[in-house]
Amino acid sequence: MQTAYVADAIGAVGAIIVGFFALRFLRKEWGLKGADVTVTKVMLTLLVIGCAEALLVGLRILGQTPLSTR
Amino acid sequence: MAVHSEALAYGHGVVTDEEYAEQRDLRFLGFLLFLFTDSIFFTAYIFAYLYLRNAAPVWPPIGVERPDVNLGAVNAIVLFGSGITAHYAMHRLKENKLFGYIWFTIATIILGAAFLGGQVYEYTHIKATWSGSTFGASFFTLTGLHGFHVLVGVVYLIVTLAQTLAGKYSPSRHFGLTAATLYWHFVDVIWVALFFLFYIY
Repeated sequence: MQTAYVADAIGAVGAIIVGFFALRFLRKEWGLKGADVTVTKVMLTLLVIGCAEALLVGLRILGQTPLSTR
Repeated sequence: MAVHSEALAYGHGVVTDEEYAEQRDLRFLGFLLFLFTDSIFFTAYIFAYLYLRNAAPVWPPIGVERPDVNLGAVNAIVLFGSGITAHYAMHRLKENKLFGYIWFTIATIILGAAFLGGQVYEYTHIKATWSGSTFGASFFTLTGLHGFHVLVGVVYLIVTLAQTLAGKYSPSRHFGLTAATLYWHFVDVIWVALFFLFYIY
């Protein structure tokens, strides 16, 4: 049980840190133009969504009960 | 210009900046098409999983347990973090900071390998087997395919690191590194979907 709490804490803190840096990159590149920059922006946005997922799992808002059974 | 193009046609000689830019656009388009077909590949398997999931009366099937969501979240953060270090590495190279590029690329490789280690641990501890249930078959197929993509990505990064150390890339000519970074981001993004499907939904 304690391992689960440690994993939750690592997941939540990690999600905040990684999400912060992803958002920072996104903000820097937002005004730039170009095909590869656009693709990178899309990928970074999805990365931020992934960090949000991991944060919600770390905070035990998601993941304890499957979404489709609620 | 004609001399340079002719030299290029034979696969050797100096490539001018204009020729490099033109090639780069074509290479980028080709790489984008590759990523698109790869994403179609994953989409097909994801839809197959969703069909099996919705058709089953109970999910996961009786006797099968879902993977550990806490470990999954930590593993996901390891992979997402590697996406950030890959991005940092690209930026360092564009700023002509080779030392920074090397260290961030090594960090990306280590995090990618750590993710694979996490997956191996997951595979040895999950109460599901490939042939035992549709959940197991879907889980191991999709995450295994993704894991294979991560392994290829790690090898790709090691190769591009070696190429950079050998002087192949420069701040103005580095399409191989751009492609490696985009591929790594793609691998991250696929995991966003798989993490949601298998651990949360």
